[in-house]
Amino acid sequence: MTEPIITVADLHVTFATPRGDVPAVRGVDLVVAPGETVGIVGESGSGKSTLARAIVGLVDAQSGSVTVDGRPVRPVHGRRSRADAATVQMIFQDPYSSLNPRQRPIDAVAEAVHVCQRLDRKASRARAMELLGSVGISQAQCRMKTRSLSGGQRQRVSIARALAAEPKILVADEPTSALDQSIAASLLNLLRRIQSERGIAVVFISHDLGVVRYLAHRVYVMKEGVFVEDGVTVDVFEAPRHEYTRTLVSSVPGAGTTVAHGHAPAQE
Amino acid sequence: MRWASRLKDADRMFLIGALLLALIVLASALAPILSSFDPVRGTSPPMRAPSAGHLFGTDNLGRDVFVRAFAATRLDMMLAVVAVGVSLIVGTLVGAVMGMGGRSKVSGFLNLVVDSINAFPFIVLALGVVAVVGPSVPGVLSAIILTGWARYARVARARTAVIADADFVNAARLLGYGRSRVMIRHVFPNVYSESFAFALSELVIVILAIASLSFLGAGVRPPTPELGAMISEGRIMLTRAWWISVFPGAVLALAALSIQLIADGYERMTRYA
Amino acid sequence: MPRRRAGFTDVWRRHRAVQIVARGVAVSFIVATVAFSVLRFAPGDPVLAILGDQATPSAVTAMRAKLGLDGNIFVQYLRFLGHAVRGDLGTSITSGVPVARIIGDSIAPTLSLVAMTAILALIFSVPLGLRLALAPEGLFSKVFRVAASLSLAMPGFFLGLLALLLFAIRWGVAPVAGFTSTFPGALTYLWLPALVICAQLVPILARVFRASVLRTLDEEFIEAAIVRGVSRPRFYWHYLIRPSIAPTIALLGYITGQLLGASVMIEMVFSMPGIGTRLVRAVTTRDYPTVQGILLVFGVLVVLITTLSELVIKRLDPRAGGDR
Repeated sequence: MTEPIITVADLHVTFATPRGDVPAVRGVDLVVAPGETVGIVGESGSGKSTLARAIVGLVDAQSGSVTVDGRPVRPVHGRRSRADAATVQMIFQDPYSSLNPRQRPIDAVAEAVHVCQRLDRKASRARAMELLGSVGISQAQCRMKTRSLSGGQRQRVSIARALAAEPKILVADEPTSALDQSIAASLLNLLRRIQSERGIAVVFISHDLGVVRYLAHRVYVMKEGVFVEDGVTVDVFEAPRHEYTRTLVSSVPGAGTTVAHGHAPAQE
Repeated sequence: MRWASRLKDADRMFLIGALLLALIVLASALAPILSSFDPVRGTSPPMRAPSAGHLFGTDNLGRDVFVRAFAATRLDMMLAVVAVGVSLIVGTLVGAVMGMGGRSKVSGFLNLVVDSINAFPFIVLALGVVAVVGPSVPGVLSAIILTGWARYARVARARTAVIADADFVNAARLLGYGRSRVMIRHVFPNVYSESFAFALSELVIVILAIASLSFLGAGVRPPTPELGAMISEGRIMLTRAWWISVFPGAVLALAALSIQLIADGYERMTRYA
Repeated sequence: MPRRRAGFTDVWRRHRAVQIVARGVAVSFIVATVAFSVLRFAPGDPVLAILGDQATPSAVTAMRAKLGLDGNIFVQYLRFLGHAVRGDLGTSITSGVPVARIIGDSIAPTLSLVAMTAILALIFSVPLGLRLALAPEGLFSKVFRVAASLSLAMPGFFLGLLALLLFAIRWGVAPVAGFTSTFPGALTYLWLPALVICAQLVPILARVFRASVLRTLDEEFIEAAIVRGVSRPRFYWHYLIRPSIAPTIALLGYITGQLLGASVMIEMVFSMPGIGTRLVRAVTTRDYPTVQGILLVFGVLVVLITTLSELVIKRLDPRAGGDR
């Protein structure tokens, strides 16, 4: 067995609120192998988004450790090295806040290429065009204002921007929950293609069992900050061992197919 | 339905304001050039009521009030734009630093400075600065800038705290962008757009403040034409020659109203568009 | 869960008044620091401004000492604070009178004007806000909106001048200038200036009051009151006005700053011998100790009124814990 590219050991994350400390993640262990797609499912408030943010270093662990590519993850508020950026990147849930509204797609991706690959301006733009093309953004759309892009197009731009760093891991936090069903499906296909073509490990967070089933090799089921079950996707879905997983699976009619919930799109 | 009617309202406000402002700007650009009357040296009979020759009449020194009023408007507007521009840039930069700084000592100190400057009545603190610098154009400018930047800092601080949490900023950090790149290319431009809307509405307050300071004798001094100073000069002759004060006052009110309409319209347009 | 939180807020509320006062004291201290800083950090040298460029070095040194501008900045600061706490704000350069006495002599007209304006503003804005809230669309609201924009764009001192021209000079229903500190007599001097400030204050306050009435109308106890058949006056006062008035008073505390600023302008227009008139005279004659003292008093006044209005809110509306 190969060395895991992500190792999370006994992770605890707590948020300080005016009403006292609220634990979001309460002792979680997780491993991800290189090139593997791992799904994390759970209802909203189960701590899965917090876990995703802890893996990339956007939130600090209270205790426990997150090791990514052999090194402990560094909090993003410090200076991140090129190696850190080339290790793990993230796709966010809300397409309307994950792109800088003042940048056109080409500028956003070219900037990432310029910083991460140390290419000059012209080469960065050329490479950015290539990347944007590979995620299905047309030449005309590259130069459009971000404001006029749809949610699905924005998520594609986000993916291209993340790929500019040539990361070994992509953490996707509910990237399709704000999208229409058909658009969500094509985005999932894109993620799957990227995963197989580039051999990237993907951590895919979702409340949507159908989506996770379609994408993930292995799956973790999260509830109230802890994993209640994990295993190979098919096993977990076909023969859930935990009570909670059973309710989840039974509450989704035909969890085997891609069923996107009609989530209200986030406000602009 | 309501959304549409509001949008129309906002457009109308913006349009009326812009037209009014264009007229005022045009008049203040052309009046001193086209007219044969000098705004500073009196050449006509003094204290003449408004007539075809002198639309706004003449003052006690025989100067044409119309030419003087629009020369004054030009000065006031230029001063206001410079003062607002400088305080906007300084205040927004400081506010952005404060918003990003979180709980650091520097931003704690800046917070204290900003809040205590904002605790004062604007005009009172401005008067204090004029006391030191002196009643003059630089005096007015430094008074408005030194007291004004703190209000922009407050707006920018709140906005930055929101932007600094946005996912595109998180994405930038994850990509390993340096602090200054995150700040300059990602946080600042987004804070700036909101501060700009605020600056438009501040322009009204600042124009009125400049005129107020000069009215009090703590701003631009006669004989330089300035609206507040003109109103003040005409005060003692109010019963005999009302036009010396009233016309500059009306021009000042119209200028303020036009900018107010533009600012309100712009704010509503950006809010509902 | 609700039980535990109620216990917690109880304890917190008992200390709330103490907290408000403590914060007021702390902010006064900061305000004193700003008043101190203006003379020191504004561009230009006050000593040279008074004495001129040709002053002898010994005269400069003497003037520096007189203004309290000699020595280390921290020493200056501590000295300033120490004197201020004891009520010593220095001596006026132009008249040789202690600044504290100048302020004491001129503060009555200013405070009366501010108080009168605040009372009038509430009297006008509460019914206006109610009317606007109960009929949000319609001619009345439209007229209000236009009138509000017009009055806010109007320079306050110009409005005052027009009022003076019409009411005092043309119609003779108000005195042209001056003030008297006897009680009913003062009102003849105060009503017009107070109304002029109100013209710009009421639109803002009425808008805030309207918004909070609209919020109150949404609350459940309103429905309960209607169902129970509460009498009309009782309904208006207990169920609509009282719960809605807190944010308006909170804003009044906040607006006190602008109110004091406006009173500076209006005192000048109506030639009232108030603290604002004094400040302007001190500024134009470069009487630095007086400027510094008056700045300090203005700042402390704002803090004082803000603190008082917070205490009033606490009494009026127990719901408003203060974390609005």
